[in-house]
Amino acid sequence: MQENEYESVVTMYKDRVHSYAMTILRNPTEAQDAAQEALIRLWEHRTSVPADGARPWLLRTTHNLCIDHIRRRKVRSEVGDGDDWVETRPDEGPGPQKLAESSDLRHSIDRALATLSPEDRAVIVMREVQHLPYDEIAAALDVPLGTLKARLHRARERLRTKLFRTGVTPWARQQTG
Amino acid sequence: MGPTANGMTCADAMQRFNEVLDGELMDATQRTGMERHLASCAGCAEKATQLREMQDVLRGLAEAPLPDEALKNVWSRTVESPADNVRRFRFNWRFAAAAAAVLFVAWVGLSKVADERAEAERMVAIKATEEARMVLQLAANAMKRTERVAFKEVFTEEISPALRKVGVKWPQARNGAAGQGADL
Repeated sequence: MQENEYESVVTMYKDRVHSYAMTILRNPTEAQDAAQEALIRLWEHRTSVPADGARPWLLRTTHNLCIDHIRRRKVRSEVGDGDDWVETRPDEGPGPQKLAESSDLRHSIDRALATLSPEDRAVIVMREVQHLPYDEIAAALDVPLGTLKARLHRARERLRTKLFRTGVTPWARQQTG
Repeated sequence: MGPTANGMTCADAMQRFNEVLDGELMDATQRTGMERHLASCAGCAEKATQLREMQDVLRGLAEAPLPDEALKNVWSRTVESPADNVRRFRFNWRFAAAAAAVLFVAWVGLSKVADERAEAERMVAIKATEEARMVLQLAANAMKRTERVAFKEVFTEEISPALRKVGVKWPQARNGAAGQGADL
């Protein structure tokens, strides 16, 4: 990848990388760190990553960095340094949805997403929010295609159930609006 | 909500509906079976509606832009990092040295064929030779090389491979190896 190609790739995917990290980590500082780190690592690997392979590479790297962050949180939580794992506080952080529009519906989806496991959130965000092809998601998450589809179906059902239980759903809104 | 008249269970129907959400093609029999099941099972029909609308909302979610401060950090640690600037600076000087060396050799050749050229043309060639050599000297200084070493280096590493690529064979110089800058 040439230098000008790197600049184009960063410009094209920086927000997507950050959004993904934000949705998985639900912590603005950590999401920013993970996004920055992924983009910098791409520069460091630019000689081996072609420009047309940058998106899946970035996706995989960002995902792995997010998982690393979550693991570190768990360790910190286990040693009791007082910094609770953010997973237990799903309302932390604005989330991409709130940044876009703070409607009740979007807020409720944001909260419901926060209650999913990082793995479920990953497949929902990659497929439903970022519209990525299955093969790219499967490569990023390092799972076979069949496993990925099964995980996506389960994640959809879990998210639907969470939304339905909150009482603030697209359907409730339609009824009240 | 067990099997309906068409024989499809709720689990099968929702599996098929997820495939529809995934944008997958399915054969007509399966699609018809799913549609019949949804038409006759209120629970699955409600779930399907909810899943569809949830997908619509998720697809409409906007991205969270990377803050400017973070982007600045990325640029400063990549394309704008001091180490990479030094590398580009050196590369540019190598390029300049290569270009100057080619011009120098070409103009030296022209300036020496006085009998075949008008005097004015010969003077232009001499002037150009001096300028090309000046660029070569600047490039050599930037590369922290002597002019002769810089010439040899860019000839070996830049000019010769480029000439070989386009199928040009460098003529053998009278005093030995080709283009070694004997006049420098």
